[in-house]
Amino acid sequence: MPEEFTIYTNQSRRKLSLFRTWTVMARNIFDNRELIYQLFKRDFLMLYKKSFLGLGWHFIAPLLAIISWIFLNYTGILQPGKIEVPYPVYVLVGLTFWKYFSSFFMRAVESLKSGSAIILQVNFPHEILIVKQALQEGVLLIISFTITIIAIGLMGVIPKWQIIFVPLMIIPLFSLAGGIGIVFSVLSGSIGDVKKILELIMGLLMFATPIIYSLDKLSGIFRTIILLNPLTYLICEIRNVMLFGMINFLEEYVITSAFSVLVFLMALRLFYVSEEKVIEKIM
Amino acid sequence: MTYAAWDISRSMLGISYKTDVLRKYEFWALKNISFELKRGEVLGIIGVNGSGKSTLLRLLNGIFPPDIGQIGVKGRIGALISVGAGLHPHMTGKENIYLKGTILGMSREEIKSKFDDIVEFADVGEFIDAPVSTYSSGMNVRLGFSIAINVNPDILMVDEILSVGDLSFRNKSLRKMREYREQAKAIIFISHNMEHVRVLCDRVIVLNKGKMIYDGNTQEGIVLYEEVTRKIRVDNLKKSKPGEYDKVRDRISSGSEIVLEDMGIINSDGINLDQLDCHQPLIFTCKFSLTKFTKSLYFSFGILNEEYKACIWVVSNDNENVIFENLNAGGYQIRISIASHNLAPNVYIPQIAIRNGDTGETYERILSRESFKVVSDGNLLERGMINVKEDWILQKCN
Repeated sequence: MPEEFTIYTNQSRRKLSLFRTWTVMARNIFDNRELIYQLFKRDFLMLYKKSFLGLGWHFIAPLLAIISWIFLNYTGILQPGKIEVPYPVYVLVGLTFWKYFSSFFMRAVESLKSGSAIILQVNFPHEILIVKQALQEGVLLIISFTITIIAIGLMGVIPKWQIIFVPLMIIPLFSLAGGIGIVFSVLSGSIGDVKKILELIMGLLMFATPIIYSLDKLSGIFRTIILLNPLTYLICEIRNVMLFGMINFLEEYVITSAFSVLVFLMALRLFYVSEEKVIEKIM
Repeated sequence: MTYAAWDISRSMLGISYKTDVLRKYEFWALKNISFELKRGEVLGIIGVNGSGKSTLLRLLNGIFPPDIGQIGVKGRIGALISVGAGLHPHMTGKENIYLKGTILGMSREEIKSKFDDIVEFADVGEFIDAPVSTYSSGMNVRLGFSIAINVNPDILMVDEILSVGDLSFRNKSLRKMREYREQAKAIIFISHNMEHVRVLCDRVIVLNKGKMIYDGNTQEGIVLYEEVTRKIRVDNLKKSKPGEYDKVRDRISSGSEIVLEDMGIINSDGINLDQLDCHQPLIFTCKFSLTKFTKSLYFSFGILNEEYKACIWVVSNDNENVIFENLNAGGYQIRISIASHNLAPNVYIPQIAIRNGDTGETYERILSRESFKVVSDGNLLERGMINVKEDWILQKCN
């Protein structure tokens, strides 16, 4: 076996071209697929080994949230606007994708920090930590998506056939959460406040996205803000496709999606050139 | 932290910046380190805590890049740093072998082929199928070490791991390292156990405050390292809790008969010392004044080590019956000379007690803050308490 000769110098990653960054990262991920699997297994399957409810914990919290929204809806405090399906169905579907976005985003932000024990011990491409988080959230999404379909079925709503486009529509959502998430993961590695601030922002962002209400009743400045929010399209159009078989804002949706994918690709580069600077500060 | 945010934003935006200049509050964790390690060589890296050993290991391992300079590594590098880390308590030993093995860069096939070796070396028996949380701490470490050492890298970095495990496991580890060396693989060995360093390493590098202060012969390097640590230890002993008198560490005083003035180790010319050569006479002096006439006085003098165990203890009225009688009020100086003290190189603290020869009551017992070190002009290591000249004879009996 020929021995490889490695040279470590400062800022060597910056010399790589943008395109090379992507190929190098893709290569790293492919070469380390076994490690990804092992870490996935450790963090995902083992998480609930000593728990009765196990994975069930992932559904109890959103379920309770849904119950409280429904409660608010029936008491009349919340006026969600005109919705053509039962309100619980509307909320459940919306929250499924919101939950995916917000938890994948936060996971991505934490990826460097939570992997610090291995990072400081072994030299490996750190992008695989993000892949592992993505995988974990992906599996959770599949599970919660399945449960959602069963649940809305029980409530008498059958999704439209256009549901087959949902996997495709996850891509821009994934790109936006992952892209912004990994950029912040580098910052969050050395600055503790980043995560806390982002958590607060995510809490606010949920209300700036028409998940538990519909856009119809809104007007003025709120409507403008909500229409500027990319998640309005990325999340709600998935719901529209699933429940009503159509897209409300097609043009906006396509633009936001393209923008999200671009953000993701650029974020990869930013992550790649800057993450090695943060490792010495992560301790 | 502000620097961190700044650096990160700059590297994200692709703005080039200088990394070879220090900003306010920054310091070089390592500077001007340059060395080469050849195949089949065992290099020891020694230095006190905070001297930069772990940072150096991380740089060599490529965990973070150097700010200036470059590091070239040929072959696979494997690190035994904090071996217990990375084992998951809820996973079984077997699952952990696959997990940690993969983390350390082995492929699934490699792990499979080495699995039996790993289990055998770790000596965990049937526990291999039990969760690691049920392991004893020894088993935990053994398993971690066993996985890491079976990665079989070209350059093995060992960080302070021989201090764990029982004797038989330590011996097994030492044998394994010897095997490595015979396979012409390089080892970088970090330890605070100088005996291991002395036996294992062909060469040592001594780090102090981020600088490489020595690169060469193991024995000489260890003597130098011990010298550096003694200096730090003496300084620490000197600066601990403030007393009424700045040269006193601890004092038991019975009254006002005696006022203490000065004390310390001196050389034959009367100059204060804080270091003594192995073969130099030990002279201690203590100045005090008596506030009233005292019928008789005697002294006891001790040299304590860092654990406050007496290494030397002499009493003035023991055999020679040296008793100092009929002393008028006024200033005095007692001087104790020990021609050959035989103390091994180390850090010591003098202690003196001034007692009444009639009643035996203690006027003063003072543990001095004036700690000092004994150094070796030759190649004497810190071993035991005293220095002796010995002969070794091996005879065949049957």
